Amino acid sequence: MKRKKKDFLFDTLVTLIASFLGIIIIFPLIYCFLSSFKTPSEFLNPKLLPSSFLYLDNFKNALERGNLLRYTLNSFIIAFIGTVVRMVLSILAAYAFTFYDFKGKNFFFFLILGTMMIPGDVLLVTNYLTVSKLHLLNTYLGVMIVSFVSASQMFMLRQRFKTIPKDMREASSMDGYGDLWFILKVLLPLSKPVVTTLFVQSFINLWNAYLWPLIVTASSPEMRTVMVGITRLNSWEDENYQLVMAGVCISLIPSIILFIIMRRNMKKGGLDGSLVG
Amino acid sequence: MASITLKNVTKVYTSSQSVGGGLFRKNKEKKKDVVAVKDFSMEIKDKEFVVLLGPSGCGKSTTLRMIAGLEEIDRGELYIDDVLMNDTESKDRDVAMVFQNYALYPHMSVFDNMAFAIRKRIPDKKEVDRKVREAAGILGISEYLDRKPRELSGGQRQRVAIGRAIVRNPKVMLMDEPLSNLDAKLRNQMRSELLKLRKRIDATFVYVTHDQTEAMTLGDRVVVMKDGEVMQIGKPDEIYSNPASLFVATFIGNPQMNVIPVSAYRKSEGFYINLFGKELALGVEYSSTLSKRNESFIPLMLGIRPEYITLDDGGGLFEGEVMISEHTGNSIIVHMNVDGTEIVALEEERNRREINYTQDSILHFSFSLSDVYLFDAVSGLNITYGVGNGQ
Ligand SMILES: Nc1ncnc2c1ncn2[C@@H]1O[C@H](COP(=O)(O)OP(=O)(O)O)[C@@H](O)[C@H]1O
Ligand SMILES: [Mg+2]
Repeated sequence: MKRKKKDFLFDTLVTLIASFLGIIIIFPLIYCFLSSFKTPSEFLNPKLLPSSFLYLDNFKNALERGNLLRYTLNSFIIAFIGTVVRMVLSILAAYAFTFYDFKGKNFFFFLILGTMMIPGDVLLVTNYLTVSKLHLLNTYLGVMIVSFVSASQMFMLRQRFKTIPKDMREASSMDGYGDLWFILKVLLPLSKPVVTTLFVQSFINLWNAYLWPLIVTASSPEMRTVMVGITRLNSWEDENYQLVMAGVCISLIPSIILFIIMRRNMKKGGLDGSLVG
Repeated sequence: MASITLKNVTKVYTSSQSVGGGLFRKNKEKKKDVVAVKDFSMEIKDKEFVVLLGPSGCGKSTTLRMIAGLEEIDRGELYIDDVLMNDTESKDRDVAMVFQNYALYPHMSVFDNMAFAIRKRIPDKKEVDRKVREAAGILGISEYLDRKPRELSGGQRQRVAIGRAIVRNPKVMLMDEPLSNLDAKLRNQMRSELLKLRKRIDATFVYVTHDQTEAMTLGDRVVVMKDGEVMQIGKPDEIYSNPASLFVATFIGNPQMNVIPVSAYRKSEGFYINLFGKELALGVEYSSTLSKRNESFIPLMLGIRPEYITLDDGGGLFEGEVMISEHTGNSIIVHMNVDGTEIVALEEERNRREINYTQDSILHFSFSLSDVYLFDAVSGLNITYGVGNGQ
């Protein structure tokens, strides 16, 4: 009896703490969502709820006058293509490091991992100089190019690929399938959870990037990403926070949709049944 | 039609391949080459069933993988149907392989696992479907075609793995310890099914195992290997009754052959040995080979199979004290201490007489000198191998 009571108390406590933390995390989003329906005068008011959810001027203004539609498109192109290229390169690199034997394999692997130790901000200036010398300032490619390779993604994919028996690749090669077929038909389906998680994570990271897109597109307003664009909403008309809130809400939509679509695929997919055990 | 010819096929693993090695690890000490297979030569006839047999690490899998084209041949030549295959890619050799751990694709159904093996070659969907169903029928897995491998038992997975190979209708079927992961009962069952399967499939088989029962029952010919070298190639009964060396003699046969160090010495009429205090004259077939060596004192290993030892409780030539006796149902295995040497005898249950097999009792035993093998103590070779002595 005593034991059960203790468990119950513990469970309740954990639930309470978790709920409390959850509320702290989600509250800014709720506040942001609710505020985006407020009129400028309402916004200064300490009330949580807007008077009407039909007041859509903030969204309209953000999209039209703040050019957020264009910025969202920019962000989408950059995040999507950047993620796809990054995934393709990571998968191919991880594949080579897992299934091929070549001279200096370990050296190159650790060299690549070593790049993870350099903080991104340190590279900001050199990257900027490189991109500008390549005449890529104010272009999509200029924003994306620095995110095309990711050592950490490559590493995570390799960890997964290593659990897949080499026999499987040998079996498929004996049946006449090349590396690409094996990757598409066997390796990726078996690594779906890792691949989708990395895809979503990478997309959201690129979508939320701020500093790099800001400096690369500084002289060309129509090339801005949505994150850069949102901050400009405020200075565009003084102290217009409800407009920013609406912008944030809009900017969240693609990430949320992506997450919902991909969530199904992120669950564990094992190797059960492939092997004898 | 598929004969396979191996000529001095050799595989050496170099240190860079065999040792993972981190960035900062010293690699100097590991510059050692492993000779996995050394000068393997053999001609395998069309539709023959050849078994590679040997202890773990003797190079069986490596040999098989070289035939499959999964491993490069460092030296020597491999022909399939008299066409040199050394540089031919695996997929162009028309060989199929059953892997030891099955390596089924876990995300595909049984049907797709098998169909995947031929889709690349056969574009016609109906034809693929027909072939998969036919192969599934042969193996008795037709009901499971829609299941995923994880929903199958070990024996069923094994069948799918075999199915994936036979659906291709290959010239050469390679199998790497396909039964080693099954439990004893299932293994026996699959073994006899493989025998039946073999009659239905037009392929040359190369089968790897470390299990002598599998080798003896399945193989037309058995290749006994050790440390990358071929010790003997022969029909199962030849390997058993006329082993080329002490290694083959002790590796084949269960319980293992008794081996007793003896010395042959020359006396006027011929050669003699002293065994457990008894002086025995060797037969002419031994004496004639030994006399060629021009030595008067030759260290030898005497081998006698447990099943050729006759036990009784009096009158036998030798005397031993029972250490343990094991009843296996249809036979009884008696371990005796004879002057400090352990001698194992096997008596079939139906031949069993009123003898006291219990521990510490004294038994008499004898065997015929014609059932004895003599091996050179240094080289381990059977001194009468090839002379036609047989047993
Ligand atoms: N990829 C490899 N790299 C280095 N050595 C290997 C490799 N594969 C096998 N070997 C070595 O070659 C020898 C033969 O191996 P293998 O053919 O797998 O033996 P078996 O199948 O008879 O157990 C062993 O000593 C093993 O350690
Ligand atoms: Mg092996």
